[in-house]
Amino acid sequence: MSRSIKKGPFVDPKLLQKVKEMQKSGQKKVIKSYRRSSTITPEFVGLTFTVHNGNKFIPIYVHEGMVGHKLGEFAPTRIFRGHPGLKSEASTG
Amino acid sequence: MIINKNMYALGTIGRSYGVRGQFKFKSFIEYKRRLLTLKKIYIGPDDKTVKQYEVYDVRLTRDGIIIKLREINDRESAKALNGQYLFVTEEDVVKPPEGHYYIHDIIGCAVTFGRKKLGKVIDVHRKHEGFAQDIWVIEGKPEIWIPVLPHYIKKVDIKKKKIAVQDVEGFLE
Repeated sequence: MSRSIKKGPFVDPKLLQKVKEMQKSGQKKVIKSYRRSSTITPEFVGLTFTVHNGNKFIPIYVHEGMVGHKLGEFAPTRIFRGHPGLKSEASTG
Repeated sequence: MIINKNMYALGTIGRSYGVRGQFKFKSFIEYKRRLLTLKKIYIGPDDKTVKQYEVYDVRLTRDGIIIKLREINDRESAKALNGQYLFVTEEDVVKPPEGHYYIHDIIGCAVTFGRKKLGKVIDVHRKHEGFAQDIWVIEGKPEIWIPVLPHYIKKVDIKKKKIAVQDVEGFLE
């Protein structure tokens, strides 16, 4: 079930405050966050976040195409390393 | 035949196709049209024991990539190659455009941030794995993950195996 339109998208207030402060000051520091469920708003564009994936902080540079998605979508919690027992493949060419 | 050159695998040989010695090809590379320029290739179970072949024809079809070699002219010979790797030598590897690098060139490069040595690149995570952009993983405890973006990468010297990064304080914490 999708989120009510009346409520609007969820954006973590503390995170949004940090983003606004960053935009005001014009600094481009990396913002560390655990808020995977926070929606990316247009204010986030051009900033870099490190979002926790349960193990470590994953760097995410936000561009226009990411607006409307959640931060957690870009910090995968599992990394596929290939099926066991298969030979590793070189990628080149 | 043993060749003392660096070999780069482009893919594996699949099942035979037709009766004239053609076979299907499972490519590792993203830019498939590069295969149309192949002339001299090497096939073998590993990069140490390979045999040289001349490419007669390469077709990119909806069913996949079909290759015909000049030396292979019947179905049985094509069948014998099934599962082996197709290699090219270092000279035949296509140079990437400026600002683009092969993963095997990046891995092992020493990364410096100002005067501080961060360590060597041990892995590269690609965008299609679900990340927002490509990420270089630098050795250490904990590992340092740096996004591959122009404003963080200052200089890349593949020959000297050195990479200089900038403004990465936020990733070091």
